[in-house]
Amino acid sequence: MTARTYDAISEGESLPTVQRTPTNFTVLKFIGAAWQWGPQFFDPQVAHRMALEGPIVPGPLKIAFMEQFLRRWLGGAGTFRHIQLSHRRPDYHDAEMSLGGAVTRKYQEDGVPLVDFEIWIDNAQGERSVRGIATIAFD
Amino acid sequence: MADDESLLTPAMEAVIGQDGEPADVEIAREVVRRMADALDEDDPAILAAIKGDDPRALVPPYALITMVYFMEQMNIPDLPGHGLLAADEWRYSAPVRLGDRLTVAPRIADIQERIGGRVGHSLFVHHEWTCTNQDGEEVVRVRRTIAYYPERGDSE
Repeated sequence: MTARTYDAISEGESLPTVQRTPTNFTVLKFIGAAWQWGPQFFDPQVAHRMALEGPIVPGPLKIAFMEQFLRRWLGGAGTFRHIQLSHRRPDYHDAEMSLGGAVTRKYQEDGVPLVDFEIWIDNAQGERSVRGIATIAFD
Repeated sequence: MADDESLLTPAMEAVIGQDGEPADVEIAREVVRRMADALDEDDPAILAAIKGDDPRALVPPYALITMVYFMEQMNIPDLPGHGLLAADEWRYSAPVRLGDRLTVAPRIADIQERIGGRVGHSLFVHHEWTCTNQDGEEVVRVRRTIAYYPERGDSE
């Protein structure tokens, strides 16, 4: 994995889309590690009472996926300053999610080179389930 | 309940701006390792850090998700039905290392009522947590918005 340099990044650059399909097992392992046993993550009846189609993918798992997505594209370069996700619609177990992003801005703040990204997740129907932004520092 | 009746009660308004009891949590190697396993982590540098001998190895920000259990959602009276995560914001100000002992301080930043949108008439509760390490250095500030809406069948 080659670390991407600040100079090698261009404003407007798109990141190649990455597919992830969190299974029931993925979600169980995640909520076990995070100890987040919200029943909407594994119990279909509870999910239905919440007007959901089925058990959902936890929001913090999507944050972790987006961090991995950016870190892999950066080749391990940079450090996270900020990540923000707005959850527009639920994602469900065993459904493919497409992770995407684009560089929106390169700039310096207090002498530290920073890169802003727009990031998103689209569901298998092509609907945007998550919109977000992230900032990486190259210090 | 009539749809035009406010969901925001005086008891709820009273908790806006309140701080909760801080909790202490350690960024433990084994838990971070389980998180990396759940995420199918394949970065050799991260795997080496998590599985290596350095008790204070640098770990990726998602290691902080292992502490969300300690991000207590302060008790708010009169909330309707269930809550769904609407937004999450993490502002990192210091690196995370294995063995870090974090103090997680909760606060209810705001509660807003919303009519319409995906979940209909709902309450948006904005929680905040400030996490400082054993040196008193702020590591991350988390702001989480949870949408509360009447459970299916609540109004039947």
